[in-house]
Amino acid sequence: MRIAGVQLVPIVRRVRWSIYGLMAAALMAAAGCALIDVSETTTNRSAVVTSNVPECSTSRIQLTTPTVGLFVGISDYSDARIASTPAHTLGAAMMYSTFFDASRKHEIPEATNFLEASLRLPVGSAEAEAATRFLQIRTHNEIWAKIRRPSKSDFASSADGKWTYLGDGKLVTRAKLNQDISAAITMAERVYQANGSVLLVLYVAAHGVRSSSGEYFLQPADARIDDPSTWMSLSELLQPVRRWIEEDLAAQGNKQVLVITDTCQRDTELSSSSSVPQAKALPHWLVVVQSASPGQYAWHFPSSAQSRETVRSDKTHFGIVPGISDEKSGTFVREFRSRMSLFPLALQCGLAFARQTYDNSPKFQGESAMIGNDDLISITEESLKELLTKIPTATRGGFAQDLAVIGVNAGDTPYFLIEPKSESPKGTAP
Amino acid sequence: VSAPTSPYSIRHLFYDGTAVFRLALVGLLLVSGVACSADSIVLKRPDGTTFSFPLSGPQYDPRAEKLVREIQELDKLIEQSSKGAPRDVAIALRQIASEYRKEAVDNLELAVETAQQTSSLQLDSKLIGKAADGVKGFRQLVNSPTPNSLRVKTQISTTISDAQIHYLGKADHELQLFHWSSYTPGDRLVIGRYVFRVQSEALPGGSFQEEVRIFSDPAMQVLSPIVGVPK
Repeated sequence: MRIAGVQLVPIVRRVRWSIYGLMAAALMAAAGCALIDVSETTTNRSAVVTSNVPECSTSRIQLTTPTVGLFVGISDYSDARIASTPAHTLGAAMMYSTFFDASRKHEIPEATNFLEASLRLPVGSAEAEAATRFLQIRTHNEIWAKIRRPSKSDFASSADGKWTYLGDGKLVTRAKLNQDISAAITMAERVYQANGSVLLVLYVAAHGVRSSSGEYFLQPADARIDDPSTWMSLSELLQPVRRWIEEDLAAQGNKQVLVITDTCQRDTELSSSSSVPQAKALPHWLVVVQSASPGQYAWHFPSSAQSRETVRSDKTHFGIVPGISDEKSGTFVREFRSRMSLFPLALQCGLAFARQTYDNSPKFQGESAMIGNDDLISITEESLKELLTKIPTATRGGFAQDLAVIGVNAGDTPYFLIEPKSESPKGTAP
Repeated sequence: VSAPTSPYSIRHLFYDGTAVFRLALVGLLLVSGVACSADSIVLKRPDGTTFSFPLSGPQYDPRAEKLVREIQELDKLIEQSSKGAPRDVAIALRQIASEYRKEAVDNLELAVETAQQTSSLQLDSKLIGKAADGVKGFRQLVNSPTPNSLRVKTQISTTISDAQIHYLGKADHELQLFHWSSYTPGDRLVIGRYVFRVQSEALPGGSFQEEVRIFSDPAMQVLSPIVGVPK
């Protein structure tokens, strides 16, 4: 599937003194005749990127409420026994992209999205290149702009052979995650005060388990695999947002919170501390969506992309001897493979499907359609099931992935609206 | 021709009689070093391709390593176990062994792949359990005395009184080709893997099924339901 066709035509002009030219010039000079060889090389490059990741455009889909979003991808783990994977950062970046694109920045400038992720990968590895490439082609330009390219200081400080590509370079530890949530709540409160309503979205992609006592935990970057006290329980994750909603019950639904944990919920034999409280019944307006139900895995989509780059070098010569060009002409194919959390892709494709259904329905012609909590869950789940069939290992093992939802959005306040197609101006092609 | 004086010169090697031995020693050390520091065990799949099981990092699991090493050990033993057996018996035993081995390797590989492609912390315990079942069957086959003929005497009985027993090849059972044959203790059956069905009014649901491995002569097994049956 062609997802991006990029025409890059940088013109490289080189004025070259070729060795032959120099020799000729020397001979000519010796003969009393100064003549040099000047060649001009023009290089044309065109690249077409194809990918197996479904293109699910969410254009014309907008958030209904001023929204503050915190999108966290925990890709790096300090415990070597826990797999570090770019899938979580790519997932967070895609979620950020979806909500950023849907936010009504022109109407509500206070609406803010945060992306908190640190993606550190081995220096010069194919994995690093692929992950950054996917960030470039699958997410909003704003995200690409946030990617910090390696600098000289990275070489000096990277004793562990890693670079930081995204985020501020610090691991997303339990303390940092709690700080980020507090900052997002502060921002959400500010937006609420200014607008009278706010939706706070908290998305975390990470490793996760259910303990032997059935309690859900996610693993921050400083988690130890054999020490459940270093894990973060759902109740710990929800505590600050619960407090924020419960402190102002008069807001009556004008403060909404959508928490998405994109982690596995596979059972582990390790037991958790009994002192950690279970998540209690949630207050209205706080909904928790878990990308996998208890006992299930949260799968990663095996994304691949192929960049076919065509380089054409044309040389023109001024002088008597042809110049030598170091530019090679031809077609060069580069493959990129990475992994991204499945849920963000399912959400994007679910929204795109909803818009397509809306566009094809005569009922909605000229009117906006709303996507509420239940709709969002149902379209994402459908999309998730379909995408899961594209993962051979999941199919071979007969694994399922179903969303789990805790809490209710009382009144089913819509999160998104689908704008009607703008009519084509008269005299132009549709 | 005079020998070069620099000890680091490549030419020096041609003038030193011990150089060849030293080079060989370095080569040997390098090779053994690679083998010792290997961070994976390579297992052959039935189709001849290989699968690397990690011995370190996030996908390492000591339970799985134990199974992988057992498979390697059984691979060597299976060659010896059917020696001296009639050709058709040896072929049948090897076929069954390869089925068990495949079950074990497939599930181990699936466990590693699943861990690599999900946000999980550990290898899947259920898949490791299935791999362990495959290894158990493999070992049972290797340790059984080799029968002299393809058909062996069987003595399969059940703890359930007044029950009817039927059987079916395991492969057919997996393909859901349920053409059950009636069984009488003492019947001679071709060595292989079977699913036996015990039917009785005393059983909850009316019946239960159990895998039966027929490798030795005679093959004996008592079938009993996992859940308790009212007496």
